[in-house]
Parts: sequence; C-alpha cells; structure tokens
Amino acid sequence: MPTDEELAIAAKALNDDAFAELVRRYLRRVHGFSYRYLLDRAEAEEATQETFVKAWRALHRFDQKRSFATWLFAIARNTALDRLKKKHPIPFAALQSADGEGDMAETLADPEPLPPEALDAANLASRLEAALAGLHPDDRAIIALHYDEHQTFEEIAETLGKPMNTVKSRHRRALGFLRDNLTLHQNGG
Amino acid sequence: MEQYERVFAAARPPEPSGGLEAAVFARLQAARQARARRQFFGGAGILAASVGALVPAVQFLLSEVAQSGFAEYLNLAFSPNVLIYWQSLSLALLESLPALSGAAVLASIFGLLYSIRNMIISSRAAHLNMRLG
Repeated sequence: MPTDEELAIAAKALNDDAFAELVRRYLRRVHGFSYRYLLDRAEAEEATQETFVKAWRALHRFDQKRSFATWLFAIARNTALDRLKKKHPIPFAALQSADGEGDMAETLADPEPLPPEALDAANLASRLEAALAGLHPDDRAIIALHYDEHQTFEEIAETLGKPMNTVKSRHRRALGFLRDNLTLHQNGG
Repeated sequence: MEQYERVFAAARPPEPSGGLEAAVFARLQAARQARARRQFFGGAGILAASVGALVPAVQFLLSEVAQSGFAEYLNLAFSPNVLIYWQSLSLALLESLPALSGAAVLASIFGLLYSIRNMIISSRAAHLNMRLG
C-alpha cells in the first residue's frame, strides 16, 4: 500500500486518483480536527471541504521530505482559524500572548492526574466537551493532535508553526485547565 | 498521561455526515474545472497576444536584417574563400545580428507554442472532468 507521501507525490503529478485516496484516508481525521477548532459540526464539514481544496491547490508546494499529515493538518488549522476569525473578529490576544512562556516548558511539573470521581462520572464526555470549549482553539488542537492523532510534540510544533517548548507548555497548561474544570464541575454537582 | 488518553477517548469528535466525502469530491471537481477554464482562457489570451505580436516582430526582423547587412555577410559564409577570413566574418555576423528583433520573434513563437500546449492540456483536463463528473 502506498504511503501518504507517495500518494501526495503522485497527486502532485496530476494523478487525481491518488488525491482521492488521500481524501478518503484523511476525511474523518481532518473533520475531527476541524471540529476541535470550531466546535460546530456544520462548520467543521465546511472547513474540511475547504481544507482539501486548499491542499489540492497547494500540492505543488508540498515538500516530500515532510510528513503529509503534518502538512495537511497545518492547512486544516489555518482554514479553521480563518473561519473562527470570521465568526469572532476579536483576536484571542490574551491567550496568544502566552506563547512567550514556551521556554518554561521543561521546568513545569507534569499535570496532576484527574481525581477518580471525575473519571467515573457518566456525563464525562459532555463535561469534557464543555471544558474543551473554554480552551484556546490552538490548545484544543494540541490536545486533538496529541490524543486523537497520536502526534509527537515535535510534529504538533511543525503543524502549528510554534516552538516545541511552547507546544509542551501549552499542552500542560491545557491539561491543568481541563483538570480544574472537570474537578470543579464534579464538586459543583 | 494514559489517564488523559482515556478521558479524551470518551470525548471523540463526532463522525462526519455520510455526504461529506461526496461534498469534498464535488468541491474538488469544481476547483479542477475552474482551473481548467482559467488555463484555457489564459492560454487563449497569450495565443492572441503572440499572434498579434508575431507579425510586427517578423516585419521588424526583416527590416533589421536588411539594414544591418546581415544577409550579405551570411551570403559570404557560403563563398569558397570563407576559410581565409572566417574569423572576421564571424565577428561581422555577430555584430550585424538583429538581436532585438530576433528575440522578439522568438518570444512570440515561444508564447504561441506555450499557449497552444496549455490550451491542449486544459481542454483534455476539462474533457476528462466532464467524463468523470
């Protein structure tokens, strides 16, 4: 079976079947990733369509030394961010300024484990969805890429175009935020 | 971290609707057709410009050849004594070469060929898309 990168090279040489195969391979994943950003199913579907069209148009720029997944998720991220900006014209300035704290990543402690009662609750999924909504979209993307896509921090850093330490520190902060939120909701009822 | 993986597994994003794949392919098809159209009309524009530029470029070339004496020098290249004065003749040929008009004619010809090639490719793509679509 050809790798994603081999298919991308074939698609670059105007092989439409190769690109169709890539669409089939990544449809669910790009949709899930876009959903993590947009938190809206219809918007995520629109963003998914747009992502694949943009990827097809930009195929000539695809560097075969890079991972196709990283390249495609970077396009998906930009597409989702554009849609978010259209919906919410105010930038996420306060949260974006946190990028500068990336160098502290190595000194931050690992996030504490979740209390068992927070895990056992029946409505965990919906509470987690609500908690995720409170995160910056890029932090949600870090969570999605790390836990849904099993990408390394290095790959995530490449996808998001941010230093790896920034990604690590944002990941830890996001987990802390989610932990606090889930525990709080658990205690609150 | 495993604990968090279990937590996130509980909140997987929703599955895409059944029609999403078809919608993506439809958008790609539309983008392909738009590109083929752009290439075709772009090619047609270059073709028209090349044909329009070729006639004055050839006229310019002919007048430059006549004025520079290039044709006469070229005739001398076929004379039997060419081996005696080939160095000065080469220099004279180079000096009298109508470079500007020659470049204009070549550019028009290349433009013409490039636009024909592009139009053939885009027509084929459009035809293929129509058959597939």
